[in-house]
Amino acid sequence: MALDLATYLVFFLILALNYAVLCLGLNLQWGFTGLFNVGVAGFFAIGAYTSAILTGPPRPEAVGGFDLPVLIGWLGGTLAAGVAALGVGWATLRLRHDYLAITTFGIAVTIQLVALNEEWLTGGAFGIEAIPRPLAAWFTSPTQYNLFYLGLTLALVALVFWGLERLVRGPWGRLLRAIREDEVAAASLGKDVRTQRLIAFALGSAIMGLAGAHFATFMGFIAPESFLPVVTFQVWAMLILGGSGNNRGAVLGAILVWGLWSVAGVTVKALLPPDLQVRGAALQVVLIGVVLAGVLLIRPRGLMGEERAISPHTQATATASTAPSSTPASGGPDAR
Amino acid sequence: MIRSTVMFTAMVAAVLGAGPAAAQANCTHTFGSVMELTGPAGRFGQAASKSIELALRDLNAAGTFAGCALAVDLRDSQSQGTVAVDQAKQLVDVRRVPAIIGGIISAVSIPILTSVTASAGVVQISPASSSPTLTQLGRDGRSQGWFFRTITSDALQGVAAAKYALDSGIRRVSIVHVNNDFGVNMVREFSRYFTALGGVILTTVPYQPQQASYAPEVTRANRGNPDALYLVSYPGDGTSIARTWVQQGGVQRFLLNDGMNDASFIRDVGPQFLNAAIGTSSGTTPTASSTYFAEQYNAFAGPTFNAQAPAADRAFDATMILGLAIAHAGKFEAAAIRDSIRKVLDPQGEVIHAGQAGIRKALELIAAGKPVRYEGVIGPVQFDQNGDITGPFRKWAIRNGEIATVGQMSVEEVREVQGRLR
Repeated sequence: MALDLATYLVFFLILALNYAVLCLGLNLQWGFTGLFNVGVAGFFAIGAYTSAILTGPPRPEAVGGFDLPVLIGWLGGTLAAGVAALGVGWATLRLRHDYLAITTFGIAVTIQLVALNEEWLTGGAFGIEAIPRPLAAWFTSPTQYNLFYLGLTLALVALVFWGLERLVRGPWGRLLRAIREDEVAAASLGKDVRTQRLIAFALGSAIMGLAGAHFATFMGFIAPESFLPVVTFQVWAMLILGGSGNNRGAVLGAILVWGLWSVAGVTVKALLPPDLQVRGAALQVVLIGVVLAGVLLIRPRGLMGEERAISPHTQATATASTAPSSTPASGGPDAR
Repeated sequence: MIRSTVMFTAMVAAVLGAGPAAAQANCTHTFGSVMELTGPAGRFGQAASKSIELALRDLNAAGTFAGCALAVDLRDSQSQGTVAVDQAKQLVDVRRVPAIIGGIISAVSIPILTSVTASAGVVQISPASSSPTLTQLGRDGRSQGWFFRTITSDALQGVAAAKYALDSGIRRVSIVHVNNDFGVNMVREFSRYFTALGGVILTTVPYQPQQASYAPEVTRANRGNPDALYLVSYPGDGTSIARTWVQQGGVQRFLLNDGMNDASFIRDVGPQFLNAAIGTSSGTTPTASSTYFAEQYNAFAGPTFNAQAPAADRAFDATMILGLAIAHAGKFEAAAIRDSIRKVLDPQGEVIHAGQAGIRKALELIAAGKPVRYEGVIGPVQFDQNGDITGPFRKWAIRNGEIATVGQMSVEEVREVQGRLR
């Protein structure tokens, strides 16, 4: 029983950490730069399809299946999503907040519809199957393989996490926060706000593309239904619950919210009489919503709020005068 | 944060470990089901889940299976592939089920097969996924014989519909179809045979499900005076498309697919507009099984679930076949169940219909080592080596608001048409 649970948890963590990568990408955009991107599923899809086309076996009726190594597929997925985001961002990033949200949402839906209709490229409604997994031949049992893939996933999350931490703790991170808090003030200091927002948007979306490539490789099959707007909302719930503006919060939020999704159905089932189970499934969505709302009532800034952003030169004096965790930092994204 | 992690861990442990309380006197074999209970495909999954419950009621009333009563651990896929594989993995690893019924849409069934059931060696029976990819997975050996489905391949239905349309004097059609794997594949197969047999296709218009209006699609399709509209759809969207078609002055002659022989569709479009509507379904002229299911389903599930809903009848058959296979296997183990599934559909066997009397008879025959042939709601079917079923088609027409079966097309006839054109 304990071993069975462990096998399942390995599988669970692979999917949860896939969401964590998505969540880290969104955190760079929203948590640090204040870009209201509601098109997560779109960039996730671009990464997944690019990787699937690059690494998959040849398909007679469509472009590609180039049979390239998985690593190239992942890099390609990352790059494709980043380039797509540069284009999208160039056209839309002058928009503010809710307008940007509507636009990015529309773009994600458009990407999904392109995937559904352009059969020569994406396989259309049939999707792409037989996407190979790296080193699959080396392992005899699926459990061993999942364990290996979890290791790979952990390394990936660690790499993305470490890279982002380096970036956001450096001067660039402070610049992004400054833009988030007050664009006019940042611009008046001579910063090129538009370019910086564009870079943050493209980098965040590239990370989402990487998550997509990782997802396609693990699942072995992708179809347009894998990239519906619900994915975007799941990732947003994860980031808000974990604490936007905090990379550790993004990872924690992804694991906890995916865990909530995973156990909500069984919990609702355990509480309902047998003849109401079919109808009662909708209650799990209610349960998820209630838990999320409850957590946010108790911890309005997520489980881990944003850390105070203070230049290392002044940090010594600042920590001496105030306790960092008790006072609200100079405004998370929700403070605006 | 630490507190919440601990709480979460406790929650996982409590929930994953919690099974249904074991019956006192008897034992229970629990198999799994992953269905789309919520999300875009929710109403199909709900109707199918009620069918599983109905079949279980009959099975358990009639006897025991490998010494125990049967039960299902029903999970919601939320119409999302990731949720579906997570739930399937829980069922396989934590609940140790040897069989899973499920996957309505292919985006759920295929990930379950490729990332969970095939590698773990667990039987999977889908009542509704008609994607040709699943046949391909079987052909490539990647489903490793663990996958079955109780829905007829669209390829065969496309041929049957093309033949039926031409026989009914429809030579020029316009097509409006749902833009998913089912609709695209059905239309592709239909078009190939329809044009090869001398028909003309004027326009083919795909549509996105669940839109508020279908006026642009209908306007595009209603050009060049077609003899009929071939509408590949589901009740709901299909209703609003047919209404728009009639409003825009389209010819009141329809060719419809499996699932559109639905009372609510006829009522909501208006029977007076559907007197020249014809269609195909998998299955035969009414049998003891289909009559039984039609009677029992509404009484059991209540008026909110519809016996005609796509997947309802096939989920019922999937559960019946699984139950009988467990009895035939004599043990609740995946490999034995897989091997027994084809044996309870033995063409040489004595015919068994749905209902408790039928199951009792089947159990007696199985105990005596005699062959049985379950003829379910969808008719006499066989699984081929890829887990696909082959079976006859029913030709129906709507007359004065009622669905009338006008004939049947056997597998041999369909194959004959296919063969002629190869």
